[in-house]
Amino acid sequence: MNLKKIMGRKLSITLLYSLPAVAYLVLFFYIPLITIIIYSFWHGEPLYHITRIFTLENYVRFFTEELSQNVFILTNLISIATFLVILLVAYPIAYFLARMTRGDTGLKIILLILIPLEMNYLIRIFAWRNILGENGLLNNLLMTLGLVEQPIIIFFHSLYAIIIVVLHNALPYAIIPLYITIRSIPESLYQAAMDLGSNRLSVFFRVTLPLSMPGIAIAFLFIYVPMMGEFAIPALVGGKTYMLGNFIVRQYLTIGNWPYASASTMSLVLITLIVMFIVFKFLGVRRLYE
Amino acid sequence: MSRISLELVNLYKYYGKILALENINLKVEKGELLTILGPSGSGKSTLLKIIGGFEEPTRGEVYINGELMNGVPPYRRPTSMVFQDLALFPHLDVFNNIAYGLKIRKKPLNEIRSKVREVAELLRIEELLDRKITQLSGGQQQRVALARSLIIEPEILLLDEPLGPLDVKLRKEMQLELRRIQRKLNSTWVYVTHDHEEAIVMSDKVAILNSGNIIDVGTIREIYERPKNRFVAEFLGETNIIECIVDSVEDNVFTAFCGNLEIEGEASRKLEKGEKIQVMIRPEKIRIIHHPPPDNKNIASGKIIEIIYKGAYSDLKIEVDDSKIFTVKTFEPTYQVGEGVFIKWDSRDVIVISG
Amino acid sequence: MSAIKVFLKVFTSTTILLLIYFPIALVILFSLNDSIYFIFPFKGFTLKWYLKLLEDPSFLKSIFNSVIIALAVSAGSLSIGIPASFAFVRLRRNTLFIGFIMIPFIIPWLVIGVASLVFFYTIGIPLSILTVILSHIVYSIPLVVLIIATRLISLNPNYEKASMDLGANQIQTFINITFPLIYPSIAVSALITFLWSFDNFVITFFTIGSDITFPIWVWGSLRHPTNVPVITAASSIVIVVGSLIVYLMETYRIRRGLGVPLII
Repeated sequence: MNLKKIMGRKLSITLLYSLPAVAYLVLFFYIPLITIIIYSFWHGEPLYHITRIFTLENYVRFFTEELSQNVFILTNLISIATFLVILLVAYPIAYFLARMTRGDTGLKIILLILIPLEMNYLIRIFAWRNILGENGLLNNLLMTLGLVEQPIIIFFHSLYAIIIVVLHNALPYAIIPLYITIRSIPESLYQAAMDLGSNRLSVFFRVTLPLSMPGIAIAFLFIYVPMMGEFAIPALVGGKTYMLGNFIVRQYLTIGNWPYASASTMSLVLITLIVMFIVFKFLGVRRLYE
Repeated sequence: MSRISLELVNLYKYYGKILALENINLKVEKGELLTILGPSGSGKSTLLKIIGGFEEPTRGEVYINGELMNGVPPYRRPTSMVFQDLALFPHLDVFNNIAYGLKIRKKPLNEIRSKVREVAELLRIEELLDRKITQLSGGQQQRVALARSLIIEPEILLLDEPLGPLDVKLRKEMQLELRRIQRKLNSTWVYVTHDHEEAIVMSDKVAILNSGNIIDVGTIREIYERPKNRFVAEFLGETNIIECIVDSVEDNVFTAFCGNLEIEGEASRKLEKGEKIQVMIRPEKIRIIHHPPPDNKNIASGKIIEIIYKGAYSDLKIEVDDSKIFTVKTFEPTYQVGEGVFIKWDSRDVIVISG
Repeated sequence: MSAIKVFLKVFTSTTILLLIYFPIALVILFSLNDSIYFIFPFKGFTLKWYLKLLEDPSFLKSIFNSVIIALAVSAGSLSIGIPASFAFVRLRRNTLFIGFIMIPFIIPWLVIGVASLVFFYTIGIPLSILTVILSHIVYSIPLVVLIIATRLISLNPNYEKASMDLGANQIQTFINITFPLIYPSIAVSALITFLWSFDNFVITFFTIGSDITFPIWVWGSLRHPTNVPVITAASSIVIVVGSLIVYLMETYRIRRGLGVPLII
């Protein structure tokens, strides 16, 4: 009977400590989330006209209308493509830092990479705009050197601009999880593999790569998810690229069809969760705490 | 009559459906060093945690100095534990680690200082008081952990395999030193280990734990020389065990046949003719003789099939007939493999073990 | 092997320098340039953009608001998140609880912004600095929990046991043992939540109404190209101050041997 008292006390302390967080998140996150879910099932017209009847029309519209579907698919593709590009750049760097530097050096260099993150997110976009833009540095340089006659606009206000900017932004978020996972592979595993006859290349594919999957999954998390909701970057440097984020912002703030906007948002959430779930299953990572 | 420091009554511990401790009954007298000896997974650490108050028993009671301790948290028990990984506070230096218990009890500073110095002298770590924990060697950390626990003068000191990570030489030194300290302080210690030699060196009493059950309790000598069963016998050291059938019993002396051997021994319990028993003879109790003696009892002849040289002595494996191999301890380094020998032992060294 | 190592070394340094530092250096450089455009050659060294900046009332107000918000967010999320971290450690096998706390962390910020907007409108709370603070804390709580719970988990549980064994009750143990050992993580969480909130654009965009924070000011300014150099001046200040803070914080961490910087 004393056991129950002690167990109960431990449990109630845990409950007590988690109460503020739970209450706060319920009030300011989950209830708002439920609110927009409810909105998504109402009938909406532009300019904030809302009729509170239950309807599935918003979701139907979102998944069948050409505009929304194009945006939807495009955004997914961009997000995944961006992830792959970043992975391609981040992995070698993370590998180098994790396995080829001694002691603290890796951490110090990561620190160096992190410091620039302190520059405001928008300003970074702005900086790139000025480098890649029509009157920007790159074009100036190329023209001064006589390599081109007219400013090249391929990097300005285009998909490529988006990818470069995101690369700049998100690289540290990819490098760090990769660094941590690669770093945590014990040296003895490599030695064992080579001892058993693997050459360097196959060691990479059989030991390093599989064991760094959790890191890759986390990097995916940090890149794909934010990208799906991105609107500032496409707006500032993406030119005509119209992403889901822009679409949703427009629906909420310009057009004012909140039910439709909410349905779009929830579709975004849905697809994000589904993709993440698949990726984590596929990479064999259990979503247990790191 | 000496006081009972610690008493465990009908203790059971379940983790969910898993039974970790079963029907534990134990008494430890004041000033005694009890060793809980057992293989890994036997429940030794669990038992210690229950005594210390870090776990509660599912059933049963813990009494310290006659007071019921169930439900009492560790900070109100008169116990102190030296953890297996020592758990020295990394952000405090040696002095403050040792002084921690006294500081919590709000003792005046000069009292703390003198007590810390006293304990540090006892454990010979006076020069280390202002060092950081990370600057200490394994053995030094050991002593600090011990000092930290001893300074609050606990009724019972609990030690969870404290000498594990030390090298053999240091271990043996520390075993003797710990024993010396315990005797000097005349305090009650409960010591957990899986090393039977350690238990033999240090203990007043030993409790053998296996799979959550206490198999045997007694002084080390009692358990070593008169083990209750095969498990205990083999756990405490090398031994020879043979199966026999009782042939005749007269008073407390019995004769039995074990294959081709005739054995005579003293029985501690009533034996029946025809009863199947197991009999144990310690390797160090067997002598090698060169001339076959007159009678056939407690004798065997055989061939040395293996010599295990251990420096100060050797273990000889002697094949007596096709299925029996005796281990015999000898100090003579001159035997050869293949040599034919006779071995003999006394009837009082023939121990009947049950099961 | 050496060839690969050399290649990787070059690749790493080039990427870091070109991709990450170059644009920043550029911004700082041009904040001192006497020209509206981002062109070489340098027209002349000047501090006029900084002066112009400091005269801009909306800039100053935006910084002020951002600081206030960041402080409130930091304080709020720490007071809620620290106890939650302890609960999190005990409940970390419980997938439901983990999901509950962490979903606000992994969901696109757009969703937090949008949901907060709709929610506040629906229950009639006008958008202001307050709503920004409230919506920021939603993301900051899991951030704090992540950092502190990680530290708690890696903490040897025997320290607390030893403390209690020596006579300290739960409160004494927390004060004397647990808190000193997690203090650096608490400091880091405070700083990270502050910097994150200061820098956040997406969520703020939806919940600020007509007020202004620094990122919102930048966004507004980016719409008017003539303000370009002023923005570079503002950026440079933020870069230098922010970098200094991060550098100091991380050197402190690394020197104290506290493991991986920032995130963990």
